[in-house]
Amino acid sequence: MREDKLSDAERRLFDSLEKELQPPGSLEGKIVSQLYGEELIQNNKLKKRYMRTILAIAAAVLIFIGGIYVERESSVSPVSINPERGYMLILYEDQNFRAGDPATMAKEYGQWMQNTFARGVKITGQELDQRATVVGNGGQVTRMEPCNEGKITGYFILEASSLEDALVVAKDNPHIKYGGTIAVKSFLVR
Amino acid sequence: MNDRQLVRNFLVHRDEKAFHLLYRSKTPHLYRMAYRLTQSESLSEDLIQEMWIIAIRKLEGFQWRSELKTWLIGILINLARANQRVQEDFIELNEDLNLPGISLEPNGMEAHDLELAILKLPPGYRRVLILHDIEGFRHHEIAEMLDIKEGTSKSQLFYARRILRKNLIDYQNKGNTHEGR
Repeated sequence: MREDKLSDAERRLFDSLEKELQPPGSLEGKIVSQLYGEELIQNNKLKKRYMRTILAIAAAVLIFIGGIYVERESSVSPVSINPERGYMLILYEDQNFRAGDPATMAKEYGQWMQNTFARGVKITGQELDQRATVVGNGGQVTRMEPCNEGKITGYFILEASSLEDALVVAKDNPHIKYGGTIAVKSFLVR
Repeated sequence: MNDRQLVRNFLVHRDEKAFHLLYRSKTPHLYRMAYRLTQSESLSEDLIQEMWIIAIRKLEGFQWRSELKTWLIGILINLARANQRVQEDFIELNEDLNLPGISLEPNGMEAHDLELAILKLPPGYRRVLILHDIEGFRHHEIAEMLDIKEGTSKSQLFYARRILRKNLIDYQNKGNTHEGR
């Protein structure tokens, strides 16, 4: 046996060594605490609650500025949209989306709603549940769970004088700044 | 999920759940290695904790030029090295290096015997031996990981194996002596 090579028997002995060892359960908790402490991870459940707050604030701003009466406890306000001037903004998120500080986002969405109304654009919108119940072409009903690839997370419907005006509104939406995308579709009136 | 999906998932969500998935897929292997390097539970835990904090800080910039496991091992081994550097200054290696070639036929030896023999290696040699003979890295990878020359990695492995064999033979002889009594 050459000394700088392992013999087959030695190789087998090395291969018999344990490959894994479970660390104490407390270690993971310690690391997670430090990650929170250094703000390297965030509490997304909390963030989701903040997002609902943001939408509620946005709706409140909308209602306040537009003087629109809302009958139900929903952030969808029954804004009357002229279909001839109707547009839908569909908000998408993928792996590039990074939600920011919730308080800052709330402020930005509120400002965006005010600016939109100041332009004379009527608008309403709603955040959407990331899960979906899908009815297939055979009538079968299935559950679609959230995924990170191009999910639709909300929409706005607005009344604008032109596609250009609708695009100005979409481009200013904070969703873009945080890495989301927005599809702008005009209503099709036949 | 594969490694890329785990990392993407973490970078998208940056939450506790995404970290759990990443942590649990990699830590048992890394903890085994840390324990082999340090032979101390508390030191191993400290190393793993520090390794993950550094890794999460740098994860966004990770370019996938190596596997995720290799990258994490690189962080871990360098933390261990920084930790062991003080100890290395006090280790004398002269006697073993002058030994003539030893052949070892590890019949009857078990993994536990090998673990003990590895433990007796000086930290520097132990690191290279673990990386090469247990983790399966090549010398150029070890050289890059430890920021040493490839030749240094080769010579350290050469001496590491030589000392290891001597330790195993000593251990075997002691065992035989005990059995004869």
